[in-house]
Amino acid sequence: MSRALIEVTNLVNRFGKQLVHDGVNLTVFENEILGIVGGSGSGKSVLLRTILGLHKASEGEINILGENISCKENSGDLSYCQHRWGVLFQGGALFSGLTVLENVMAPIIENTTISKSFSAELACLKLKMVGLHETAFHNYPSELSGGMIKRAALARALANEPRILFLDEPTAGLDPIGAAEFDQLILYLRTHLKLTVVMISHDLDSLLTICDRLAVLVDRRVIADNTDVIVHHPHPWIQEYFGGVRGRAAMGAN
Amino acid sequence: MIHGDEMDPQSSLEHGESSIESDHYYFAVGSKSAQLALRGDWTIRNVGELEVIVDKLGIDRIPVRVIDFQCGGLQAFDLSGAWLLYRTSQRLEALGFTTSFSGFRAEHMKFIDDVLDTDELPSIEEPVLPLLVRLSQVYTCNVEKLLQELRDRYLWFVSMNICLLTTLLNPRRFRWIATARHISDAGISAIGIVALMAFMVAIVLGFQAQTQLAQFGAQIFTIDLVSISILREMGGLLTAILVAGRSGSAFAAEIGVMQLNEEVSAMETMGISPFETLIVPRLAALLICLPLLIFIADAAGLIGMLAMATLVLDIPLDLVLQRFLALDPTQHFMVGMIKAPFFAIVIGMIGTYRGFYVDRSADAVGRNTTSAVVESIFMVIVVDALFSILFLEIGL
Repeated sequence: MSRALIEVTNLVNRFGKQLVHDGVNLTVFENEILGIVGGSGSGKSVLLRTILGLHKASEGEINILGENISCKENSGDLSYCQHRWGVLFQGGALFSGLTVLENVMAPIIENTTISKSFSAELACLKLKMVGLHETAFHNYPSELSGGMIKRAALARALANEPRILFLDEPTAGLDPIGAAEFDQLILYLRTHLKLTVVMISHDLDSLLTICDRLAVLVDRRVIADNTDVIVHHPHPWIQEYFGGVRGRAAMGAN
Repeated sequence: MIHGDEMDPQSSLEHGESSIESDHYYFAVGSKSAQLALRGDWTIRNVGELEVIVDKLGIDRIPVRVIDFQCGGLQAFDLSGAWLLYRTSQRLEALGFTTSFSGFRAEHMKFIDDVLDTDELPSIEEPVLPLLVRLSQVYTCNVEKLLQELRDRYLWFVSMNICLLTTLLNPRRFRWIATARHISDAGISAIGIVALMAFMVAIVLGFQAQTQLAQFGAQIFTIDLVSISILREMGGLLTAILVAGRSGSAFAAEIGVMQLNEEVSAMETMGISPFETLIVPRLAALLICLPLLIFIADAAGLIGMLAMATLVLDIPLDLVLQRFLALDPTQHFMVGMIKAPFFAIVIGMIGTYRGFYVDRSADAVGRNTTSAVVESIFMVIVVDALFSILFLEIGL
């Protein structure tokens, strides 16, 4: 078994009286694609935000790339990780005041000593890699379609040569053809860039096609296993999720 | 960190040495071919420094035209490092070199080849047109924009007023609750600042007038001067400017963010008129509040005048009042007050217009808010000037 890059142990998240996570344990291994699944409001986004350090956990520990983030104040310096992970937000979160090229250059210029012209070349390379056409390089995000925004945002997430890529609903809002292309793109990048991918998704097709393992958030905990094991898990919610009309259709297709 | 930096590699090569090395490379020039053996990390963390070092090596000036990149000694290597090598080899080949890679982790190079369907990256510089062409483009573009905007504004003004009238004629469609909220935001919460400002402006005016008038022994006229300027001009103008700053910007920002959020489009698709829900309540609130605020400003200004006259100039209170009433203050008050609804319409129109016509980006909201304030203050002053001329002509 390969090395664990992220280890979440006994994570508890509380908002007022509402308990979102109650002892979540999750391990992400090197070079795998892990899909995080759960009903609306089950705390997928909170889990992702906690791992990314955007939200402080109530209890528990997270070990990521050798850095330890616990619920205590001032614990763990995230800057090491911040230069080594890439995040694709659901809406893209491209900086609206910068062009696509400048968006991808931004993390390179801010975090390294690379010259401007060289970082522009690297940004072009990343944009080419995600399949964005060069006519869009100088456009502002408001001038792009949804699929182009996702691709540009993916290029920005890859700008710092990350080891871990976090994707929040990467295929949401894309048409089936675009979504399938995006899935293949993620697989391709994983293979060539040795990425570890953690993705939140509701897209059953993309979960079943590209994820090596699935982590299901049910009853405020995580059940994680290989994709083909998870789909036959006896838990009623998981059965309903994968055994429903859409689930069966997606599984039949795969 | 990188030792190659400390000496100038090029000069050492020219001095007949056949090899140089550092933590990141070993460069040797033989009689038939040269080798650049890579060592250590070539990643995005240090590729900025490596770029400079590779440039300094002066590979293009060596006597042989065959170079082998030996990659066996690399530790960490990523796409950025690979790109530096790829780019270097491309440049050398363009100069007539033969390049090869050995001992490789070739996957990155192959990957770059896959990604680039052509040999070159697209040009990253935007094409620069001749100055004259650019100027003429900017000029025609701005003229077109200006005409378009004037037309938009005219239509906006017309449809806004029609909508205001129709909702007023059909009171069941009037949004009372929204209007009340805007009265509270634009009117009630502005009372304190408006009163304080008018009070202080009256005192400042009084001091300035009294030092000048004292030279003629006409200090008593300070009362006339301050009262008339507060009632006719200052009360209305300053209040309108303050409201333009407070509420004009708020309107532009609120509606601008709703526009970004597609809330306005959502309303339209539901058959809810954004004019009726967003603009009429704001406009009505300003039409109600602004005259009341001006009244408060007038009152506070007159109190300032009284305080100034009795406490500083030591004029007895009954004399001050007598002097003030002899001025026919009602007429001056009406002259000031008649401008209020026009100010309200100008502020409301520009603020809401600026909110509606916002581009889809965060800085556009900021820009439009700024111009809402600047434009409405400017237009308030223009309207005030027009009224001054009008009153002068009709002798009020």
